[in-house]
Amino acid sequence: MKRYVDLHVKPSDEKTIHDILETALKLGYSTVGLAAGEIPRRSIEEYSGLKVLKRIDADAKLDGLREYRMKLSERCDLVSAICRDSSDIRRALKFGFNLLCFKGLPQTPRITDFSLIGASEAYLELDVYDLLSFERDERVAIFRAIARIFRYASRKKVKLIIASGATDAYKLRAPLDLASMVLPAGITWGEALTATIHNPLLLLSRVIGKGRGYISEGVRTVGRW
Amino acid sequence: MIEIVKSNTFIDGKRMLPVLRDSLAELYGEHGLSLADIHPIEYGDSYVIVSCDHRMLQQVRSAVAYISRIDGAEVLLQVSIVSGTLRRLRAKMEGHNVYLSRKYPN
Repeated sequence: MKRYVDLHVKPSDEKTIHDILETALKLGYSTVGLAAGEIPRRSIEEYSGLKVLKRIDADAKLDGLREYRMKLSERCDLVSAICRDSSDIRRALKFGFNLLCFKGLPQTPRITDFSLIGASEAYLELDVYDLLSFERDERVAIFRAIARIFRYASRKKVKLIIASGATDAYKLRAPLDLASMVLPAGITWGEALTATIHNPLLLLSRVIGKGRGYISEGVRTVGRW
Repeated sequence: MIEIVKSNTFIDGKRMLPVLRDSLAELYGEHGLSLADIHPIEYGDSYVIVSCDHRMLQQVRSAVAYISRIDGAEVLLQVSIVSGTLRRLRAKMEGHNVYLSRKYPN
């Protein structure tokens, strides 16, 4: 059986959490990254066979970002940095974030940002939730931006991830439908599938592979004195 | 087969086709709509079986993904089964129903 992952859902209240998880299960997902923020959740790790990853989105402009990331990494499976500009991306990479996402879809992505991300091990995530809320005219600009993001990503070898970023169950999409959402921007089906299915699984295998004492790829704390 | 996964009111399968056509025309224009060549095959309470040109399958899929409202009601649609022949599609539907009834007994 195929394994599908949606790395980013961000419900606004506790009722929506269960609604989203139930719908994700119906749509065929095996793993979901739940960014529930300050909502008191009773440590949901599994939901009727659906694996739930705890995720935190940290603002890249925060003071003490490095300490914050290290503290969060111990408690959460996924820690992402929300970036608004190049300086945020530089900061997030410097402090060891391996998952970056834009605050909204950027109208004018810059190739220099992609060079920075491409040189690191980080993944860049796009939430397609925005596409559903925009009107036709705004959507055209967003499609242009998505086309540019994919072009820059392939030139600079940046690993892209497409996630739903759903705030409620109606904003979720089935895995293959989610991949198809970037096709109107002129993206090929192969590229869309890589970003929606292959890359999230790669990141997931890294997340699962990091157990106690994990620092980065090939570096692990074996003892303290 | 396009299925309604979630909606806040009852939506007839017949209402899905005009909305799908609009969505396809909005995303790919009249040229895309003509290339997709979509025709209804069967309507159900919460699904519609549509035939389309196999070269436009992914585009039709994306048009389905962009539908978030039908007659003002919020909906979540999914392309649940794709097949080249109706015979195979019906066999898959049977398997799909058995799977769903086992997974969600109520």
